[in-house]
Amino acid sequence: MSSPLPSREIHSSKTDGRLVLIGPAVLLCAWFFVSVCSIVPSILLPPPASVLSQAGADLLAPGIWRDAMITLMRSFGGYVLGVAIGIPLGVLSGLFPAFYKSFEFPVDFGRSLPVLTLFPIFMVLFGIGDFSRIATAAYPTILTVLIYTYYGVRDIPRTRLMVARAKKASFGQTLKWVVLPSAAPQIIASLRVSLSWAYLIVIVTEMYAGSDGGLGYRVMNAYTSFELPELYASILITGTLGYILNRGLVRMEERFVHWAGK
Amino acid sequence: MAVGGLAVRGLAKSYGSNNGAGRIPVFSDISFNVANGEILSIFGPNGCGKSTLLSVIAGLSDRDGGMVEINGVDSRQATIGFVFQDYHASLFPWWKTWENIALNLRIHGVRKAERRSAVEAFVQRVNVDLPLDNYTYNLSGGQQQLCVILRELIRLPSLLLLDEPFAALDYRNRMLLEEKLLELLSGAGIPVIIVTHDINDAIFLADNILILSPSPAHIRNRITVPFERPRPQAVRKSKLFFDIYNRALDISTGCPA
Repeated sequence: MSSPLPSREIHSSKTDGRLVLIGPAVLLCAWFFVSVCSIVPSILLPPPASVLSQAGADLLAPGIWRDAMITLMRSFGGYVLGVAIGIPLGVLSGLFPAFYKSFEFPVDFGRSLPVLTLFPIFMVLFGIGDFSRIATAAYPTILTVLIYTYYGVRDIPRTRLMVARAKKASFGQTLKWVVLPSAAPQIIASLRVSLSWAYLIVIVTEMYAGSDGGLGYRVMNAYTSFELPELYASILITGTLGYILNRGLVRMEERFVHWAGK
Repeated sequence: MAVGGLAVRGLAKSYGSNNGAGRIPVFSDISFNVANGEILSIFGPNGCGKSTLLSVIAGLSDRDGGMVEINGVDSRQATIGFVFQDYHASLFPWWKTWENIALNLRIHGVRKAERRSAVEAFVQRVNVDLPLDNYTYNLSGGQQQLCVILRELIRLPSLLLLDEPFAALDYRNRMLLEEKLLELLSGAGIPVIIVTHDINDAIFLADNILILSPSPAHIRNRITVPFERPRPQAVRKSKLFFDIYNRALDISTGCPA
């Protein structure tokens, strides 16, 4: 008797490559259909050809590259700062329950706080320059990386740590050869999730007053001047860049933590 | 006391209870010797504290009292090999098989090229066929446990402890590995303790069997296994084997012999 559930067998990479194209093609067709049938007026939703040609023109001009670079620098600044703080705190929390207990409340409180509510405080503290945006991006990165790392370290099989203890491995050896590799799948997953967060948050902060460049600023500028093809093209480019960043980290995850789940 | 081998005297261990009702004894007044070159099986029911006893001997858990010496040195200062039951979690899956076997060398600062050649020479000497360049998650269960055993023996420890090393393996792999273990240990000249809840394994592997009572554990008896080494699997079918089996079972269950 055949199973009532669909097969979950893994397809070949060639088939997978084709499947990935189906979603974007459907969306593009739907957009085209809505545009041709004037379901939404073209002044509000320009046709795909108009947006794609605007995106092409943008990519040939230096402005978008400058804005993308500004956004990426701010995102990576916040991201690197957050990772540098989050990983050590996560490792300490996972290894020493007393350390985790001491910081459990501020971490849980911090998780409940919408990050953008902190942006005004960071602007007051650090001014309206880059660092307030970097700090706002660092904040969710710290929390995400800390929590994932904590769970990764906490869930290391006890036997594995006992092996290191039985061999009288030093703290540094245990950290380098047992703790960090054991927790690496969770740490790398947190790097992927938090990079998306850092990028997204920097773009939103660039839409606030005081920004002098960046992809968020570009989107907001197109909106306030009602240049809708430019608005849609900027959003399209912003989304594509975010997707590329995420895919890069997925590849890194597959390559560097081959033991994940094994 | 005897200077050669392992000497355990008056060992006691208890845990603090969660409800504040004082301490719960795991075992008390455990004393025994294991000579160099001797294999001792510790046999007892599940939950009687066999694994905790090994942990305390290895210095991985604190003890309430007593002493453990290996060749006259406190066990906490000695090099001890420890084979855990969970071979999967014992291995480091981010390292290849040879790197896992070489862990002890790496901890002692041996360089990579020397570690590699030491592992190759060792597996050749003990006549083991393992895919050294595979990651350990690609090995079978039997190969993984063999990898762990080799890791513990590449630098000969002063004492080897094995905590139910074959409990998670099928019968065929268990027999193969038991034979290999005996082969690896022959001539090693170190005291070995194997914890097991399988009387067959205890008799086949050991020179002596220590039978523990249910928790809180104490030593009920010590049985000597008179089979010569090397031991063929055929000894399992001998009348003497069955006699020892029945005696161990009687002592373990508290029935009169």
